[in-house]
Amino acid sequence: MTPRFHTWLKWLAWLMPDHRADWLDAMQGELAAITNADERREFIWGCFTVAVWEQARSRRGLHYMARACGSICLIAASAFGLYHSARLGDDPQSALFAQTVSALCFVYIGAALLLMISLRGLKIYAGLGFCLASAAFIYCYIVRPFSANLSAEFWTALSMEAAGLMASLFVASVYLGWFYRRV
Amino acid sequence: MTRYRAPSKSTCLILYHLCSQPAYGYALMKATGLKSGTLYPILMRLTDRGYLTADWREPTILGRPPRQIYRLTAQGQIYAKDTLSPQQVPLSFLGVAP
Repeated sequence: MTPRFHTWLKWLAWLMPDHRADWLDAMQGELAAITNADERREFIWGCFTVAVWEQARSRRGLHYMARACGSICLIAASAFGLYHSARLGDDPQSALFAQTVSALCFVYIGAALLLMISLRGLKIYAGLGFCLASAAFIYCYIVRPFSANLSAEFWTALSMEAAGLMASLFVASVYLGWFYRRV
Repeated sequence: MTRYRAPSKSTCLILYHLCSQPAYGYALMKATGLKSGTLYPILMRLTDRGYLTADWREPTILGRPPRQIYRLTAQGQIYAKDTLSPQQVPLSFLGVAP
């Protein structure tokens, strides 16, 4: 078995509910016995659907789904806001988007801070999320006005990247608590 | 007493194959033609209900992880007999020489 497939299945550990952890070990054992690459891929995909379904069925899974939906909404809202704030220039609508996105940045930073305070053993990850979210915030909203002569396309691309970075960091820092317990 | 709905065709297929002999997950996939995404939830459910046991087997090839082998419990055998029609149950399972 190539390490790549093995790693993919290992990553499912953070999706599988705690009470099904031994099933993931069983799946890993079976995966090692499969020699055909296509079959392995198919097997991993099946295991992924099992993990998602089992997570959704468990009580914690519903909580997870709610958090995931909330995070996706935040990501979508921030990406949308950043995209438009970069495109619209100096009109009032742009300012509104910029304010919305700034507020979202504060949400990310606040969430990272809360994680730093509340979760034992996760402070390093939450701290990293906090630093990066803060850096993205500073970079996008303090540096940007002084470089207004750059093209809108440049800022659009940069903003999208920043939004993606912040959103993924936020989601990662939120779920690291869960992931940490499983590793 | 907890009542469960009638088993699906896939569950019957798995029960049928486990009637004959214990099997590994991959072997069950091959024998039944089910994908892992269908097979494992059924195995989990059957294990939760006490119809199956999953025992760890040490690997035959060095460096490979241990595998789980699935076998029907006494309760599972009764369930399989009740669930599968007489034509479906392997003769060996009923104690009759084929």
